[in-house]
Amino acid sequence: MRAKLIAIVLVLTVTSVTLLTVRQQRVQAVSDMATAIERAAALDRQLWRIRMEIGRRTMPDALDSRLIAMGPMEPMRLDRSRLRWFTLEDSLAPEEEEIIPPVVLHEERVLPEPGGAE
Amino acid sequence: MKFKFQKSADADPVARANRVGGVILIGMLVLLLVVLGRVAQIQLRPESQLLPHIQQRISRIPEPARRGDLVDRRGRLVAGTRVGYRLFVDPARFDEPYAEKIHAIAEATGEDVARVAERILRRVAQNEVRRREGRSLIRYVSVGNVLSDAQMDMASRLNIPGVHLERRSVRETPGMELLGPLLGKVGVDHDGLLGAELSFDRAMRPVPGAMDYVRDARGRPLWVEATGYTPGTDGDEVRLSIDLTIQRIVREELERALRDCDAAGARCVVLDPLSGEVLAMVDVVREPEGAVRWDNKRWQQVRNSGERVRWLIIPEDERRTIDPAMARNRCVEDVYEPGSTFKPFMWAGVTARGLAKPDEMINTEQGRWRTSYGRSLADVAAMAEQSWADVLINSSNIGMAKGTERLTHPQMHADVVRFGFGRPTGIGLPGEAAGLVTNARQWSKYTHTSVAMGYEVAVTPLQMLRAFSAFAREGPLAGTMPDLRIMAMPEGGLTGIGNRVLPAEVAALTRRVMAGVGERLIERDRRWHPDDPPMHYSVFGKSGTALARRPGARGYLTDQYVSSFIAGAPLDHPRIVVVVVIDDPGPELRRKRMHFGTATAGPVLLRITRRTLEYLGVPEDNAPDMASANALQASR
Repeated sequence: MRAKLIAIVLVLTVTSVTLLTVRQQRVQAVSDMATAIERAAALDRQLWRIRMEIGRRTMPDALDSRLIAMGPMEPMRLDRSRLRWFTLEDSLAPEEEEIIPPVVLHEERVLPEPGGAE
Repeated sequence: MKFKFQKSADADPVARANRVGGVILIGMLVLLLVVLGRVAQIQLRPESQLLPHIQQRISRIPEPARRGDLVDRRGRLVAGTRVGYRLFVDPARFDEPYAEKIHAIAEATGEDVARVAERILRRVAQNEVRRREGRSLIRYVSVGNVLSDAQMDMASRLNIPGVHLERRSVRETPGMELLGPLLGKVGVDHDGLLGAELSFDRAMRPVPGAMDYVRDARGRPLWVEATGYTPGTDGDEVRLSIDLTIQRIVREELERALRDCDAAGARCVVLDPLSGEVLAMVDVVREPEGAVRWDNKRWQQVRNSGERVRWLIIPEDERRTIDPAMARNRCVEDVYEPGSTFKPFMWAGVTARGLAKPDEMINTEQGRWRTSYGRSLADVAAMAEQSWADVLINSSNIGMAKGTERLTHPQMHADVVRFGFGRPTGIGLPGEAAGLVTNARQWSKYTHTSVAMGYEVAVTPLQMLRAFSAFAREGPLAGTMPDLRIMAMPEGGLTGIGNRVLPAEVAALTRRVMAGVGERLIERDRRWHPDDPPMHYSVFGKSGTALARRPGARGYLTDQYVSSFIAGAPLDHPRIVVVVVIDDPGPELRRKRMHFGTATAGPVLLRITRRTLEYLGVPEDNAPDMASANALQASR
């Protein structure tokens, strides 16, 4: 009889401890989840703030005032020997491939028409 | 028997233990039932004395989600939501010394010390009275607005009992200066109230989340049920069709126009005719020096005395002074009489019905003519006769009146309505005006002649552009009007949807004829503004000058005008259509006869068109083609 009672008490104890452990783990998981959510929310808030700041600083007016603050600027000096127009055939010849900034093409436009005196 | 029972029980200890155990068990069960009953009673029908002390076991923390952003067509943020912090004081816990603490709060929030002191101490005093009367205390007094980062730093270091920070959603609008009423406003609950904020409210509206947690008697959280957390869903981002850079170009040019023309106001809309997307929409106003508010009595006196008074023709807009977001968007909400800018629609209507050919000569009566019903008409350019095409280029009132006489009243009315006048464009902006078109039954001979010249019809700049797009669209879309959009077209979205208003060939023909007007404008602008960068894009369009209507009364003012120009560019493959309306060019321009649409709105339109097309990377008309450029390269 005593052995049975001890066995019952032990089984009940182990079951209780297991249940308590599971419950504690569940609470811990929920707590971790809440902490993670709170961290994510805090990061989101920071992200929103930075996003707003970027928004403010990239307004056309704001960019302009920054450019003005940088002082007078000069056009890029161009190496005229490198001037040429790109065509589709050019882009298919990899050995000659080079990148010419759009400003170069713009410069070319003001040159005289073919056959005219420069 | 009883004695015997006791005796036998005493004799058998096991039986006795069983009996005692049974009694204890029954006792425990009864006790348990009593406790359960009590719990049930407390849960279901608690006593009235307990009611004030009973609280819910589950608490809910709302998790606010974020309202969607508004961005321009290139993704630049024009309105967004962030979290800000505001300082508040619990007067019940705010104690002496007051002066030192109030100074610290005022410094942290950047508010006036006296104002902060008045706000807090008034509530502290009220709490004293409430405490004596046994009433509940005031526990919340906000101080100042949302704090900046630096202020937030200071405020978080205050460490004063009863001073706290609360989190708030803040709607910031970096694009407000450029977009104004187009952008609109949200209310305290972040619901759209005006402008795009209202138009796209449903898309940007967030769905807030919540966390339900079980708590103890002291309110401390115990646990969260598995289904207790519902995350919030942020609102969608809305991409407007507006381009902030084009918007800025237009604003700059309109502000210059206000100064150059001494005008009371200026409006401009830039549209992509293919997609119907509005690229820019700007409305600026000013109160010209010496202009006076409309007064009927004074009008009578002035009319009789011949005195010249400059009336304010733009209705007062008090909301504009309170907040730019609350201003009237006159591009959408206010109508004007388009004058000669209306002629291309009527010209195309007559041509489409085969009632006149471009080279047909029309007798324009040396610039003065009386209609069959006795109405006098005059032309700015007095000519004996001119071709039907030249009637449009020279903006001949007589030629247009004679040409449109070939239309029946129902035909002309139908043409006007078909171009979308007299009803909103459906762009989705709040407060859009429908415009005014005389109904078919009241359409008279007088109306017929007036409408041919752009009078007796009231339009919004947006309606004009939508109708004008019919001339600017190409290929199978030529002669159709787009559905207007203020939200950017999705990638690969439909562009072919439109309402046909003209045969494609008539639309193309009208465009070619209007190129003559554009050439003349460019040539004149070169003389008028030699310092401006040259215009390298060909333009087709039409100018218009209409007498301004008397504000708040019937009829027209005698010497004040609404001048406008509507155009598309480049001629061969139009990328944009633009309308510029200058309200009331100043008396100096009128004296010099330079108040016409070509002289006032025309140059503004050219500058806007040139800068916009350059920004969009549209090649100039006279840019050398690849073949000639390569030939040049080879020749070196």
